[in-house]
Amino acid sequence: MEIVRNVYRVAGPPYGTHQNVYLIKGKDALVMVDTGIDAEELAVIDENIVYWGLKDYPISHVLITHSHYDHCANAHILRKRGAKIVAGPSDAEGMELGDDRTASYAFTHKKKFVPCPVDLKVKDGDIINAAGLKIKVIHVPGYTRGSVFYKFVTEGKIILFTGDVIKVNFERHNFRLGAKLGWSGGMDYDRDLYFETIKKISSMKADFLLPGHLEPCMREGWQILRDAYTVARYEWHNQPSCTLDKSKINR
Amino acid sequence: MRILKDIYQFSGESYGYIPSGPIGDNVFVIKGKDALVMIDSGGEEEEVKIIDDGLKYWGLSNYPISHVLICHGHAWHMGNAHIFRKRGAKIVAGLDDAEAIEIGDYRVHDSPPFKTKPYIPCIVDMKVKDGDIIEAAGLEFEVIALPGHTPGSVCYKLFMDGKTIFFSGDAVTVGPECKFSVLGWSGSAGYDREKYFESIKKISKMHTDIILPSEYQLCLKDGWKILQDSYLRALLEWRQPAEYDD
Repeated sequence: MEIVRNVYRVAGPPYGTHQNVYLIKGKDALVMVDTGIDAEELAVIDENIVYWGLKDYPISHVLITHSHYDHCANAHILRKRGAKIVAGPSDAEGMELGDDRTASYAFTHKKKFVPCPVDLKVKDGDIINAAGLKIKVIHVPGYTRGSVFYKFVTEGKIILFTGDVIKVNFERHNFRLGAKLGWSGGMDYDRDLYFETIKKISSMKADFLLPGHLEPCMREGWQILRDAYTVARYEWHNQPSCTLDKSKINR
Repeated sequence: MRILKDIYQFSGESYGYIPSGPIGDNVFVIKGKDALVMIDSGGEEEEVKIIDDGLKYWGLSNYPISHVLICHGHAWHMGNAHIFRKRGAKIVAGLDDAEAIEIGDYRVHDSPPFKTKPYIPCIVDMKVKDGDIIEAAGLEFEVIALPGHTPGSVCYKLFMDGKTIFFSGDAVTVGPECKFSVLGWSGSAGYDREKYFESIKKISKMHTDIILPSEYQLCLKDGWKILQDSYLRALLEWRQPAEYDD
């Protein structure tokens, strides 16, 4: 589906896949955000690329929001097709080594993770020039060390690709719309760091939130960011934090 | 957002909060020949602005809305029908829900949290029944009656872009992540489980590629799987009378 002009969602729950994959059409090329989990999902992506008339454009860059298997397992295939792979600090290394930072231990029902070189290792504040577009990197560590938001402004509207750090949650049973925080099974998950990140981003401006799972937010995305702080305080209050020493990451 | 080349979604869970609370009902617009067809209308007046913003953004403001097809007569899905009728749209609804829509009695469920302001009744221009073909904006919609959730619940079937599309109302909705189906709310004044079961059985044998329901998630691939799953859900959940039923 075309979320706003030139920004597409080419895989995700409506297409029967667990994680979202987005495409931005730039000047003569496409920028992909996350890659999906397997060949089957890549087929869905390709089908949508054909449907929306984008198949003649090359994918110049693939922006990885974080190194978990379900978001970057197809990176090596897309790189072979000619795309440059972009990822945040630490997560880039995790993808290159294929270590526990890919959380492959949680995806044993899938094929073994294929490590993939990362062409562009980005840090907070970097501007990525891709397909004639400017995309800003915001480092949001905690969920993984190298989780990043990609910020893209189009027609005056701020779009944030939020990965798994902030998702949009509609709780039917209590009629509440708000933020949903990330899974805590990641090897380098760090709740204290995550909390600081949420505190920081809760005052950010955004119109659209395009997360790695579930549905996007099409209006007043800043409300969801703000709500994340409330949710984090409420859900994590009085719970012990559990931080693993970075040096102990299993290689 | 643009779901297919000529089908747009302008209201739903992704569209955030309005003063009365989060939006929960989907509104779709289909671009036909020189006109638009709307599926459901939203319940709150604030949603009209969101719909209008969407029409403007995608360059559709200059097309008239020729028809509003209502999937069922609950206020939070069709409370704005009177506004679009004033703008010139023909209102279409299932024969057995039309009376409730025109009178606006308890059957439309316009109490909070479904609706915060009183429901304004609306004349139904076309009262449709199973098998009817609606010609609107050069498109053909087939009516599939699915009584149960409400007496006049209908599904509108459209063939477009080589795909079959079901606008299934609340009769069959799609659960989180498109993994299973969700059956409609049983609190409705005209709810009839026996009829609902027959409707589910009927629709589960049909084929569709895409399901665009009035609530929750959309299903854009292998929609027939959701239809079949709805039959399984009904068998699992309904076969034994639940205790609270008597």
